[in-house]
Amino acid sequence: MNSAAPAYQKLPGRSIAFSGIGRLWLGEDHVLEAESLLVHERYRRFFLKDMAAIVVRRTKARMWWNVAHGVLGFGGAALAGGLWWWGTFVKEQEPRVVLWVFAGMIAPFALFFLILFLINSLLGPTCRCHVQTTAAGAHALAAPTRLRAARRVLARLTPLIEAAQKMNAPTLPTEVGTSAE
Amino acid sequence: MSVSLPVPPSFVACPACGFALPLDALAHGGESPCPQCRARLSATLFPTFWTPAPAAPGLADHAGDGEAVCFFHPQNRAALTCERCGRFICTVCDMPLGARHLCPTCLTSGLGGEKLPELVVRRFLWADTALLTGLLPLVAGLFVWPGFIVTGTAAIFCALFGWKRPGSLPRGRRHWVAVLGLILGVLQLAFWFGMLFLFTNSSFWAKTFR
Repeated sequence: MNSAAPAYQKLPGRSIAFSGIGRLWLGEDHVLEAESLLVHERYRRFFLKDMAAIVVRRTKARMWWNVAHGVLGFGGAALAGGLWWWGTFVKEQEPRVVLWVFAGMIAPFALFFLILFLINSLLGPTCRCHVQTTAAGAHALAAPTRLRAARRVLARLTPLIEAAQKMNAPTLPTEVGTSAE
Repeated sequence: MSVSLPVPPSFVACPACGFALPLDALAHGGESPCPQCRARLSATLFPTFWTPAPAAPGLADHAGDGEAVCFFHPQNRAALTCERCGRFICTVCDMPLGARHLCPTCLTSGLGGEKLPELVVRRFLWADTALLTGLLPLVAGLFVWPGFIVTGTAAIFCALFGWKRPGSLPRGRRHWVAVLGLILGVLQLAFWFGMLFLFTNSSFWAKTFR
């Protein structure tokens, strides 16, 4: 009675949150939302024939992350630069080395946050996708969380959903010769 | 599992504030602000949204002479066949599972033991557990080596116990992860026994630090 495991194709975009890493997968007749938290995965299915609408809402997550990364990155860089610059004016060797050591300790952290700032900026605007189905109402999808990825997902799903909804009537055995509808 | 309701959604609600969005603003496809909360939204509406859903199947038709009948209700006319066992079923017995139509027996038997992948809602990933416990020393540091007997054994157990168990639903079984966990578990045990040997064998210390 075992069924063959369905084959899934990865859809663009993913999310990282406390609830786990979210990703969408395209199955034969449904979209699978998988949220994995270390050693455990949770699934939710949205059948193509049931999807009534997909709403994409632009969020301000990128801006807030950029503020956080920017403060830590640029602030850290300014502090490290300041300490280094201050050290150049100190004539005694020991305090100068201490200042430069502090600057050297802060600089990698500043660089780390500046790289995060750059990556977050390059990934583009953030969004939240919501799928509205005929059966279960609206549901916020775990992924994608970037507008660019959401557009790619929509471009991929729209023709499939339209095709699925055009032929969602169940097939009938010819010998019965009657319709289920 | 999909269950169809007779009434399609007649409006799209703003995900931020729940306000019913004007469809004419959404229909042009671009981004438009919610009239209430000003959240910037774009919506893609599919045919199901506009087309009223068919009425939910109620009572099945009575079978006439010479007509195929439902396996479970001999008085009802068969409407379709179960896609697992091939039995004729009426609209009452039809259990739609995505695009498939099953009979109640096949659906019930598929609920246990994860026999129907369409019904799986969570999975425990044994291979990932093996890898995680195998990698623990890299996170905690080698100075916690007395605990390696526990984590190493756990990594080996998880890798072997979960070898034939179903893995992630979309990614499938990832044996390479389990093998990596197994190797790391064996290394931990080897390290633990090595350290134990060093601490218990006094002659080794005597020779080394003479």
